[in-house]
Amino acid sequence: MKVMSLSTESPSVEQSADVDDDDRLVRQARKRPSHFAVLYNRHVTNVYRYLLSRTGNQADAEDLTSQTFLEAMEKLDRYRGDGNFQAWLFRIARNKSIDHYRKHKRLTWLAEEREIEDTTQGSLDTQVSHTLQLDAVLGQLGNLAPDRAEVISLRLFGQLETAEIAQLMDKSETAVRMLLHRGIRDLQSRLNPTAQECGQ
Amino acid sequence: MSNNKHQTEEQAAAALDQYITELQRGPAKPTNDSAMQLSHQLSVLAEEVQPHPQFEKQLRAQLLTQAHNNLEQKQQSSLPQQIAEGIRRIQMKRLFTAAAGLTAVLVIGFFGWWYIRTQPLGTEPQYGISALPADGSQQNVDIAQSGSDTDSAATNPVEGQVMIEEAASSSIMMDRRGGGGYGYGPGEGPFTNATLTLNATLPTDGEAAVFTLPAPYQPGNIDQERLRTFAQQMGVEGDIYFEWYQGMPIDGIDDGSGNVPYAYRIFDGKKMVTSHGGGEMGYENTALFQNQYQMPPLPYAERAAIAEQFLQERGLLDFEYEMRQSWGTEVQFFPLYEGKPLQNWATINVNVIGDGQIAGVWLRPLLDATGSQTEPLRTADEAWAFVQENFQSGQMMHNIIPTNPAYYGPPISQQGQKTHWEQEYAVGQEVTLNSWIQIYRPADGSITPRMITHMGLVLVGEPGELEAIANTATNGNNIRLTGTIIGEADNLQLQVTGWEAITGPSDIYLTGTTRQIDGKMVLELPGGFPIEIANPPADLPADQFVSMSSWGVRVADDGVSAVTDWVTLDLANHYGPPQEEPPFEDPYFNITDVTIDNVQLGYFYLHPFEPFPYSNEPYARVEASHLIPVWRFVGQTNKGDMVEFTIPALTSIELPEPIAETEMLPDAPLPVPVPTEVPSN
Repeated sequence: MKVMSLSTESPSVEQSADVDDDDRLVRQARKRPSHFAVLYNRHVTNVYRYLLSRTGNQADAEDLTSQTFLEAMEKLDRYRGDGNFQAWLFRIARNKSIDHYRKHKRLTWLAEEREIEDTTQGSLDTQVSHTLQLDAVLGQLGNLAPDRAEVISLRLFGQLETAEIAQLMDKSETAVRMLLHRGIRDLQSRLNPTAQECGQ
Repeated sequence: MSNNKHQTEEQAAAALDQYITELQRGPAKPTNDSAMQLSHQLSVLAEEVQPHPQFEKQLRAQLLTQAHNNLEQKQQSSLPQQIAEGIRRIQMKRLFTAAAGLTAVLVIGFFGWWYIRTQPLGTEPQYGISALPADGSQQNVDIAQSGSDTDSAATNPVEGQVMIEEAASSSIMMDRRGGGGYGYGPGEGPFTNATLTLNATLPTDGEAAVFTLPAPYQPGNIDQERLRTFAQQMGVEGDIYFEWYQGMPIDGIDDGSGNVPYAYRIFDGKKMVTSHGGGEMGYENTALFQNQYQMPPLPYAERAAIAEQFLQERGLLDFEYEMRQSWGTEVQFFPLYEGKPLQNWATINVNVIGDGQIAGVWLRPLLDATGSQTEPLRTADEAWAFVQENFQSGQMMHNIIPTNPAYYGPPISQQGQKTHWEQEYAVGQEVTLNSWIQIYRPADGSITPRMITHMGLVLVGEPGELEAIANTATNGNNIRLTGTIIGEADNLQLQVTGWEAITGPSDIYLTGTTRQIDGKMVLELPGGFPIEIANPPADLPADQFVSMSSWGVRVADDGVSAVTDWVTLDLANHYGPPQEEPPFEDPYFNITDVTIDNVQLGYFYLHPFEPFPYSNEPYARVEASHLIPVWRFVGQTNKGDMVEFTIPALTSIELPEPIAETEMLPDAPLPVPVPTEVPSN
């Protein structure tokens, strides 16, 4: 009998969970829908993290997380069982965030830009000292080129593998790695232009 | 020059990516690279982000409620062997003139598409549907854009008529088990390079009935006596419980007066029966699950005979039925309507595992097909022509059921090998263990809860103490338990002598390779990070890819290395890295020949579908569903795997009005059984 995590206190090593266990759980959930809760327990934290990084605020992240899982459960029979439930789930989450972005793009990013100014004033040195402020990071993510921000969110907040992101974004793995690299560099320069210059 | 620069950036990107991979699988290595440092910081930041516990719990509860609201629909789709999987995804809009001119929506699968295809056959559809795009993508068809007849119907809908609106070929491109769509390009399917042969006589049926049913899903219709009868038939004895979480039934439904239990359970050792409000009941013997995964299934004929005898001995086959081979170890019993099997609604599923034991039985209520009308049929010749025409493109409802036992069992390399380990307990053993707790309340309203650790130990103790544990665990707290193992081998219990809520490490999954290093068994994570396995099984082999559930990762006594307390260990048999397994000939690829040797008329359950209320899709309530005749072509591939094609047999659809509108809730809500008093800790 498999034992599933009921906690979201999941260390990063949980990412190494066998993706095919997900398929087994999906089969169980199709037969007994209440078992979907196990899949939920397993993925909710990363989905939430990803959506928080895309929306920049807790309320929207919660709303989209809810939509994502409710839709995933509803459409579980459309999952092909090809061993990548997580990528399938994140595709739903990504679509939700895209819809959200389309609806709220202007208001959201304008508001966040103002917030960045407030939160980053005089704090760059602190950020260099490993105390990045979440609000600042999320705000600056919104100012990156969309694909770069997307890759950073999926890779570091959603904790997806590069191959999964490539599948999700319909890009090659090399392209994803390049987007990630450039995105990190870009983010670095925005968060701490002095360090970026010195570091290079 | 530019190429070199590009290469350099590409290499840097690859290094950064590798660093992040390692970061997410274990402690980060020191680095001077600023991009890596920022990535590390972002990872730390990300890991500090947690959804608010209240939100997380509320969403979990919402999902569970939604799960049961959709239970019947989900069970319809839960059987991957059913040829109908996906068919209900295509929407059929049902228009009729009511006082308010209300639009209701039905969903059907391939019917819309079939309608398109039927036009060349010479029968004018009653309602027009525009053709599918060439690439087979889904297309929502505006009724007003169809022919003049359609326009008329759309603007002046006639009561009682059903209008097919959508034709979505994506819905007949089903999943891997259900058909195409698995790694095939546009216009391709599993039969693209195959030849098709008919080795059967085509029937000559000219007409068949269409049945109308009331909505079969009526949440809240719980019959505890029926559950108890079923339990007795399965040899399960015990009290009736419902699961309790966050102070309420986890399988509950809000009837307006409170959250009433929606599902009930009876436990008997490792056997359990359950019932759901929609009338479904299930039996499971979890003691046999491990056997199921470690041995190939019996040949169909053998397991079918066992399943049939099992059900007959218990009086459960009191209806006309047809047995069919199914996915994996299951045997399905399909009810007959006017002598024709209902293709996509197995009333009983029996799970006969490789050693011939019954590991599970699922019952669904017989559909109450009380109304009917007779409709003309497409001939089997026409249907066969359709199959031939669309065979290679795969653009029709098809299903491939692997029959090679190797597909379901462990790989050859691991047959006969021990692949699963659990922490084992002996009667009389003193233990301290960490666990999350499943809590079940008696349905009769009595006090003492039944609590089970995540390893299946039933807690025994003083009622007040058990109640205190329940009240702590119900809020999601993990519990550290101390006590003595009592009971019998198949029904071990923990006599609790002490407990406390724990907030530290929780249960996690790990996968990696077992290594024997310096006399210690180590789990080497995919990134190379080693974690010592505390007290490993003596017979756990090294250098094997395993999946492990354990209770957290902690710092070992040496202060630098990591150690984990394992709970279960599994050799990753067919779930392991593909490169480590011998190649398996996939039933879905390289099909060169298909021979159809049976053609029959059956029924298909047109499932009502309510578009998801949380999405942007339109929402409408559906009052009725129908059984419609279909042609079923059954055969086998050159590999011996079973193939079936399902083709609608109606020349048109004009479905009758629902015969009754059912209420979504029972008239008299069941009382909520709660403890009459809660002892203090």
